[in-house]
Amino acid sequence: METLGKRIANLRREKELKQDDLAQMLDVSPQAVSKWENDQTCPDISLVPELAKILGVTVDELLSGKEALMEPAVKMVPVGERKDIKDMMLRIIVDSSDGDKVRVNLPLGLVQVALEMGMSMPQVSGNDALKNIDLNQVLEMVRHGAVGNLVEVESSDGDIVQIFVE
Amino acid sequence: MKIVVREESGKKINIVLPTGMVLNRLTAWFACKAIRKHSDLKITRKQALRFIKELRRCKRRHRGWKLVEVESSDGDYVEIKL
Repeated sequence: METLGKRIANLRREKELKQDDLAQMLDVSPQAVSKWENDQTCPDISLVPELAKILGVTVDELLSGKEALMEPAVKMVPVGERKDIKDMMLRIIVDSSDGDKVRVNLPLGLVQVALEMGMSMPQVSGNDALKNIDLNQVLEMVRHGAVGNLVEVESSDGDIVQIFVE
Repeated sequence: MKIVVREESGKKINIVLPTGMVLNRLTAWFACKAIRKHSDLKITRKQALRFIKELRRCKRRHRGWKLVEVESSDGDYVEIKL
């Protein structure tokens, strides 16, 4: 199994960098880089994002050694393979800029009933970033076979909101 | 229905309520009144009942359905499972 040290060493060589160069970029000693590569120590957690950036990989790829899955955000499911809309789930994911995380899971059957009652997005989610999203359109997309990350909104104050259907 | 509240200090509260007690004709009536009072949504008792019925159906269909999960930046956690 490839260790973190070996991964750092291989990626560094791919980038044609010397241990000294990497050390200089990260403001650490060349001995520290050597110790990482020989698995004697691990890089400090605060250095990992910068290290990953220099080596041209994501933090996840650097730590796990697995390449990030390049799945498309939205998939179109062929007619025969589509699930009943009532078995599907609408996930609303809100990551606010001040660190709060909200996850709401709503079965699409329930969303359908709520929309028939006249509810709209702010009444369902309560988040301003989703104020202008038409849930009827989202449902229409799902009826036509679209699943995955259908909506992604980043508000001016840094909140990230995603609507995911699966 | 299960409500889990976890504070950053480690305090944990679990509230377990029978679904029949939370989702019934009476709660539908209360919900209907509360929605009419506090929002501009005009729903009828019949619609509220239909919503409750759908909720119960969804609970059966999606076992262990986690309706809401909230994690605040200061480490508090709230989860509502139906």
